[in-house]
Amino acid sequence: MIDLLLNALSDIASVKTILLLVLGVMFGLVFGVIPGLGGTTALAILMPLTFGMTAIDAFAMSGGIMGAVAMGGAISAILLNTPGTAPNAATTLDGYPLAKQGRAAEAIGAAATASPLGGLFGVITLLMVLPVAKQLVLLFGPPEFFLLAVFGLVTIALSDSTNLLRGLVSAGVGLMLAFVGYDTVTGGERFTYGSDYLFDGIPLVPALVGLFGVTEMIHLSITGGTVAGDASAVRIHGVMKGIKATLKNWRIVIRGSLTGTIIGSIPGVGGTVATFIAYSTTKRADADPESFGTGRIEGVIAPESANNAKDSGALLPTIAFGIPGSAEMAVFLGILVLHGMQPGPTMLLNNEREIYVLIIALTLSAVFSAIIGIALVKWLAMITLVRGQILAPLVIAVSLVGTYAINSRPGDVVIAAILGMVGYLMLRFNYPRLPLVIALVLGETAERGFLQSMMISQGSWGIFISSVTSIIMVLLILITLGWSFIPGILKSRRAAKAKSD
Amino acid sequence: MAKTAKNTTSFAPVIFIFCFTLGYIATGFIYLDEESRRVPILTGYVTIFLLALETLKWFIPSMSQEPKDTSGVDAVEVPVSREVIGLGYVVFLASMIYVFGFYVAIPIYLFVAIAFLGSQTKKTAGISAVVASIIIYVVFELILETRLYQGLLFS
Repeated sequence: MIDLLLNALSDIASVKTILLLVLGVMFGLVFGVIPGLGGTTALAILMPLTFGMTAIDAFAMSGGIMGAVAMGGAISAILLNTPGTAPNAATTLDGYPLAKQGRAAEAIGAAATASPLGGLFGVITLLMVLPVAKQLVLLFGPPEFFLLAVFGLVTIALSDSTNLLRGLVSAGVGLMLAFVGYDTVTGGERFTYGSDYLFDGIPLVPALVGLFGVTEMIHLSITGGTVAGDASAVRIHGVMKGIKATLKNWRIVIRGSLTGTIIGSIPGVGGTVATFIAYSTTKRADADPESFGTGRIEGVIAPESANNAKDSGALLPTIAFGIPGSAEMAVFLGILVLHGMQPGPTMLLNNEREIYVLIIALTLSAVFSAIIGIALVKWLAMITLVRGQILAPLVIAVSLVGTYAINSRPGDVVIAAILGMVGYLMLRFNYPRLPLVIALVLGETAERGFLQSMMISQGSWGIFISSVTSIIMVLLILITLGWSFIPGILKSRRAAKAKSD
Repeated sequence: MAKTAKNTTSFAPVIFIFCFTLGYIATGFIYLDEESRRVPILTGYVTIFLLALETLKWFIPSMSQEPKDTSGVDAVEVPVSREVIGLGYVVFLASMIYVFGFYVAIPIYLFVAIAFLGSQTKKTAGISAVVASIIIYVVFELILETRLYQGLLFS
């Protein structure tokens, strides 16, 4: 492992790669600061631009973005009471009251220290877990892969408790789209309606750019507005006080980081849950829980350490099993595919070098984003004054050009535009987009696993409970389904009973 | 302030997805052999079943769930006409790119979108369109050496 880390360090230690990483950090900070954009949009827009780069450079830039978005989001959460990204919402609870007391710099200093420390904790945990994951994936055959894909889909589709059925419907549509094109098992052509363009299926990169990048920009251009009008009043004095407070509260940093890493690794749960759990556990453990929400520095440290740690946690299912646990990871998975890698066991076995480069990039980006974030905090806060209706057309245009640049196919522009509009309608009618994307990614794995299992077992479904691993997977799927639906059913029964009484 | 469009509940998505799924299943039966259509058709049936459950929610109030809370941003009622215009701009851009290529489509789209959808002055829109087009040319044609699409009309 040490050899791999040193090799990765030497790979990344070139002026060009470090510059790309810093560029990624800047990009991530800007997209993190502007509410509604976030890491997913940043990665989706940047993804086509990485096409001409080596995998190492692309990972450095992507790592830069992923590590910096949390810091950018914390700045607008503290200064403007508007979380830049959803997981930063917990930071507003105490960050904004601190800013109102004139202690904004202290809060930003604390966030800038807790965030890289959390990232570092997550990376160390990932390094320790990777060798175990490598052994684990060797136990997987076609039935286990099929069940794993189903588990990933079910978990993500049911992750939004207010939209259980719509999440599953969205996953169903995603699966249907995933089956378009060349059938890898039988060799036939499916649902292409004679179009050569669709022979390779719905291309992943234009789909991701459309569903995340273009969709968010359409939304921004329609709703419009700016974030806040008082960003110029930012005074940054006393950052050191926040840094010292974070180091003094190292137990909160470790607890928050551990929460972020564990929750981040569960597909579909997401960073927002991680940061709120980190916040509430810190509040509960405190001697004076009532004072939280009035401007406690611990209320900034806990969620921010969890926020950066979650990325390393989320990388684990993405790299080891090819199951992206979040929208950001789904887009990152697109970058892996774009650079010729197949997330899942083969990547864990054949692309260790690139994985370690990514780990180093995430670590460096967490540190760089803290330094750059503090240095540029005033300017970053000013970005929130840009009107969405000017920003959105610019970003849509760049996204479509970038999508075309990958394969020089005009059809990719059309797919990105169509899925961008579909994504907006899904947003509007409250249908989650993530299950559709995950299904698009996992559809082929699921189908191949299913058909190969059926061939091996000569049509017997018993193959899906023929090994300990597959039994565990089946139980996990059933538990996830039960966990999601049963409380709702019981609640409606109780409500019906109360009504009849 | 940052805003988000208020979520809407409507039958339209269910009807649309239902028609799409029916068409998908019909295509599978007409054009594909039994082995190729096995998993896609099964997925189609499951989706229809889920849509049926989703429809039931309209008739059984206790099955309905609270809409998602978009914490941190204000939910605003957006006029449908504005949404249609917003989506129309994307259709306009994609069609322009397809027919006239990037170098004609992008400056025109940026100018029109910033000036009219963004309610900015024509001067601001013009400068933004020209600067953005030059940056796109430099980044893609000169730095990344990607020949951008010239459109059906000019290629």
